[in-house]
Amino acid sequence: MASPAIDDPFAASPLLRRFAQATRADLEAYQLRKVQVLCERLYANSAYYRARMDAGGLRDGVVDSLDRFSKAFASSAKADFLADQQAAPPFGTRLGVDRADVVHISMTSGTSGQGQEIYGRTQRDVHMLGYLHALPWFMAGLRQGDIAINCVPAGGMTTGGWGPGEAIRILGATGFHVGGNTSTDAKIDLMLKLGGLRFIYASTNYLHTLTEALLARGITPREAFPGMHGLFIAAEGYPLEWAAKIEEHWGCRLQEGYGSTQLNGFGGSTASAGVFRSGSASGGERGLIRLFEWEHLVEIVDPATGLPVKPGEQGEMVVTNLSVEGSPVVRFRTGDAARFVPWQECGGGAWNAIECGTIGRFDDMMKIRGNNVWPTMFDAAVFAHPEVGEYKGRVYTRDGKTEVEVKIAVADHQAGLSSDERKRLLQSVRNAIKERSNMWVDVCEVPRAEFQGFAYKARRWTDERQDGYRL
Amino acid sequence: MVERDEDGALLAQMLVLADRLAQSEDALLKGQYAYLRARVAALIELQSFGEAV
Repeated sequence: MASPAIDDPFAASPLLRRFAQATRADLEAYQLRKVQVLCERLYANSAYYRARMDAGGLRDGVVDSLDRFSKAFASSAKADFLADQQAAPPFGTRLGVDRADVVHISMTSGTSGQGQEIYGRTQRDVHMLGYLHALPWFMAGLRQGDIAINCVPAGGMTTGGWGPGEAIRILGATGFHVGGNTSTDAKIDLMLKLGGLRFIYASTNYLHTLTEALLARGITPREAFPGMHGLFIAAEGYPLEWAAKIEEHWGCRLQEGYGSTQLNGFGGSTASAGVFRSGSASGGERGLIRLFEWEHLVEIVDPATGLPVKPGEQGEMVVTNLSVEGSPVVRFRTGDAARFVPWQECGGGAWNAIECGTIGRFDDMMKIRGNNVWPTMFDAAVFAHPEVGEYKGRVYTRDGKTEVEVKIAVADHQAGLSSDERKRLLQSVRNAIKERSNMWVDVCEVPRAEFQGFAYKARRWTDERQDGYRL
Repeated sequence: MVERDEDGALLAQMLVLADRLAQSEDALLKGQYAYLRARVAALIELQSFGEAV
C-alpha cells in the first residue's frame, strides 16, 4: 500500500514557504550572514574558536565567503572538545556567552570511552532546541492539539531527553512521554485508552518493537489508531521493505530525521515526503532527508581529504550550527557517513539532502537501543578480565528487540579454570559491560579455537540488525 | 512598588502584543506565539500578590 499523503505543511506556514521558495543564492547569502555574525561573536567571546580563526587567518573573525570559511576555519573533532573541557572545566573555552547565561546543559552519552562532551545552552538555545525538534515534526504532520507519544526517554542531560518535550509543548500538542520507564505493553494500553493518537516519535528499533507487540496482541495499528498523521524515527538504519510494512500496518507515512547534540536537535528530515523517494511506490527508492540549511551549515566531505564529495557519493557530515549561543559547534566532524544528494536532484527547493535510512559511521561506533556504543567500551570491560583470551560481539534483532551477544574464549594459559570459575567469569564480564554501557548483554563461552586468525578489533563485531527487521 | 508597577505595565503591553501574535495564521508559529503569551501571562499572574482579585 502506498502511504497516504499528509496535509501540506508548506501551505499551513508562510514561514516554511519562505524556506521552501528561497533560491540557492538566497540560502547561501543567509548562511553567510549567519556565519559572519557567529564568527564575530565567537572571536570576541571564545578563546577556543578565536585560536582557530587566528590560525586560519580569519583576522578579527571576519569571514567574507562561505568558501573561505570552510577552507580557513579548521574543523574540530570530539577529542578537541574534550581536551578543551579538560583544560577549562566544565564548558571549555567554547562558550559564546557569559557563563552566567547558561541555563541548561546537554551532554553526549560518553559511551565512546573518550569522555562526554558538554554543551551550555542559553534560554534562547532551549527554545531553539525545541524548535529544531518541532520543525521536522510539524512537517511530518504534528499539529496543535494533537496527541503525541514520545517513546524516547525524557529528561536527564541529553539533547534527546529535552528536545521532544519542548517541541511538543511549543507546537501546542499534547505529549505523553512514555519512553524509558513504561513497558511496551503498558504503552500500548495507554495508547488504546487515549484515543485520538496522531503522532509517534521513536527510535527505528523501538518502532519495530512497538509494532510487533501490537501485532502480537492481535491489534492492527491502522485500525486501532485511525487518526495517525505521522510516525517519526531517528537513530538507526533500516531496509526499505521494513519501512513499507510499517506504513502498511500503521496506515500513515513514515518519516525520518537526522539530529545530534552538536546540532541542538534535528538538522534535517524527510519533511512531509516520507522515506520513499517521491514518485516511487513503497518498495522503491530510498527517500531524502532534506537539510535545514537555514539553521545549519552542513558540509559533506571526504574524510581523508576534507574536500566536498561529489553528488551520489558518501561523505562525512561536518556541521556548523548557525543559531546556538551557549556552546556553538563550528565545523564539527561528526564521524557520521551519509550519501550526498545535491538540491538540484531533489525535485524542488534549494536545500541539499542526504539519503535516508542509510546513515552510518566512519568509525566503528554502533547505535544500540538509542545509545552510541563503541567496541572500545566492550574491549575495556571484557579485557579487564585477564582470564579472557579473545571475544567477539554480535548485534542482532530477536522478537523485535535489539540484542547483543558477546562470546568469550578463555585464554589458553587459563585453561585450568574450573566450571564454577568459568561461570563466575561470565557473570563478571556481563556486569562489567553493564557498568560501562548501561546495557545487559548475553555473555557465553566458546572454544578458543573459534578465534583462529581473529586479529582486528573491527572484526570483533557484526551488526545483523537489518536482517532482523521483518514484519 | 514603583518598579513592580512599571514591570506590570510593560507586561500588560507585552500581553496585548502577544495576544495579537497568537492570532497568527502560521501553523508552525502559532503554538510558539501561544507559548510566548502564556509566559507573559504567567509573569503577570505571579506578580499579582496583594492586588485585588
